Amino acid sequence: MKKVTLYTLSTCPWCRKAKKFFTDRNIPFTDTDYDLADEATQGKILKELDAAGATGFPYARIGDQVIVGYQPERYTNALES
Amino acid sequence: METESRKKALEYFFDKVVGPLGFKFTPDVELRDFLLEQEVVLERKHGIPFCPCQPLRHDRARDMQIVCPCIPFHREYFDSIKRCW
Repeated sequence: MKKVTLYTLSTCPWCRKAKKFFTDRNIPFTDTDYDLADEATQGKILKELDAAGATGFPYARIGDQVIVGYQPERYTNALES
Repeated sequence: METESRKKALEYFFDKVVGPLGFKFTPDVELRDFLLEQEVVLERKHGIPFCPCQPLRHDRARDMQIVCPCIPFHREYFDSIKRCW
């Protein structure tokens, strides 16, 4: 199974939906809320977002694929590819 | 101000701004309610209702581009996904 990493915001409704997507399918994932993280973690997340050209959340890394925004069809494709 | 009345005030204000930009509030009541509630939380915390889905960078110039509704600053992306975040 591919490793799933989510970066989210506690204030973001689409981030909630993204978490629910993986939870409902019993797909294990690690998740960090950017706004609740310490400064060092925020810096690390911003660096990764900027490298990927992403400006918002949810930010999902599924295997080696990065998906920005709540995109369930792309999550499914990335998990199955 | 009470959370519910502030949510209604923000909804009224946002609606006036996003309409002419070609956007409208989602019919998903739960999502809309959560979004407005988070805007109130962000406004109380920072004094400004920033986008609830984009990171504050503590860089004023960049942060002012994510004040909700931030459609004009991210128009191309929002048009492509047919929603704002």
